[in-house]
Amino acid sequence: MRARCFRCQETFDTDRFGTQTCPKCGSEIYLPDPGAAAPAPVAQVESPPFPPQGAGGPGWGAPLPGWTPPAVPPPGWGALPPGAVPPPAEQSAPFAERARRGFFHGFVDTWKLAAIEPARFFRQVRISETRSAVLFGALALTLGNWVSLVFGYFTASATINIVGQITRRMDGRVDSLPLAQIIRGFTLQSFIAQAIATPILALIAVYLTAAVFHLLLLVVHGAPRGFDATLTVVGYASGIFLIRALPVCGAVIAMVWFAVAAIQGLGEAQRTGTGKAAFAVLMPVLLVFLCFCAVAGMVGLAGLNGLHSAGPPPSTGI
Amino acid sequence: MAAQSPARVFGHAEVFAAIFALSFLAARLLPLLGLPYACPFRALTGLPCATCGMTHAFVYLAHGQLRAALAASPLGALLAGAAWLLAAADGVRLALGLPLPFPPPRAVRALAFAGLIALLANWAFLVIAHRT
Repeated sequence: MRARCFRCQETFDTDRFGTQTCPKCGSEIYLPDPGAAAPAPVAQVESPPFPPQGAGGPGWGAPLPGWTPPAVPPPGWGALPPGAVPPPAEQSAPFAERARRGFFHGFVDTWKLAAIEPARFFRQVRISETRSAVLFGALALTLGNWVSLVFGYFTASATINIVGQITRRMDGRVDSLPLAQIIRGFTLQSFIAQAIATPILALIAVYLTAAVFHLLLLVVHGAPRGFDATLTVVGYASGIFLIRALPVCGAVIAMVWFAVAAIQGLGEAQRTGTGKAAFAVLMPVLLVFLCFCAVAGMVGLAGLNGLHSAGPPPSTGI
Repeated sequence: MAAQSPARVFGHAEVFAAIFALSFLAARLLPLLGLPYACPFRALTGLPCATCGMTHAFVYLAHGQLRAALAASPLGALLAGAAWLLAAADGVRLALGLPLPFPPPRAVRALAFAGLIALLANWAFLVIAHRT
């Protein structure tokens, strides 16, 4: 018989009723048996007696005799007990519940989940709350970039000195002017301009990154749950760019960590597997790394050549 | 071609339209070509990277210099034109209260694939035309 998945709306063949997995998107669906016996009618339950006059209503007055408080709420995003299976139902990210949990706690809890448990988090997170995801990513990108800007501003002169010494060792094979121009661009005016523009650029970066990933997912038929799922993953995974605040190596660590979280996240959120997600994430990242690796490789090779050349190398000052 | 309900007034399409409109304003009004930045890949290898010339293409096209924009980066000029047309079209759609048209998934997929090919072709053009 033919069945239709309620999530991806694709049809597939199956030979049984009951709980099963959609072969297209991986969602768990339930096919009711039309030949099964109708459920027994619910027994008529007598309503509880009205409280006596003066005891108050059910919401505001004193509780009736025999009333017990409700059970403890479900654990939500807390750690799973050993052997437990995570519930398939979607739930809001802690940051999306910031009004109830508090802004800081919501941010920190979401950051931990997206960075440390991306597979579980993105499988369960609700994809319809994209505004929270975008706000989270833009906020983290902004904070990380602000700290990075401050560090870059105060160490600009030392960086120019180091770059100059490295390029001198390369015997003029590398044009150091572009790098020096970039570093000299850290004037107070440009620092202020970048600090002001950072939140807008962060917002744009989240959307454009999600758009590029989504287009590449579409190429490999890897986006059954739509752009909202991709944007949610990119938004929450961009929280990792808070690590850019670490001096020197923060940007590289953040990029690698983001790539890992985004691959796992897109695979789970789109129910498409990590292969297609890796293609979507690594294609643009590979292009970026190609440039950076070419730079690092040539600088490293030239540095080695410089070490083998006659005479002691000039001091780097570090 | 399916259409989205007009209930969602400021959705993803409007965000992208705003980004595209902002890119036109930046290319038209800001001195982007005067910024102290050069492509590190080109500085090291003498070859342009895949996205070299995009900023020049956006700025030239925003100032009406189509030939210069195409020479700087054909794909950049195409992207700029398409993005600004989309932004304008979305503005008109919002003003008229029309629903957002959705192209079929197969067309979007074909467009994305064509974009990949165009990026590679553009890179080849840049390497041949701008090799230093």
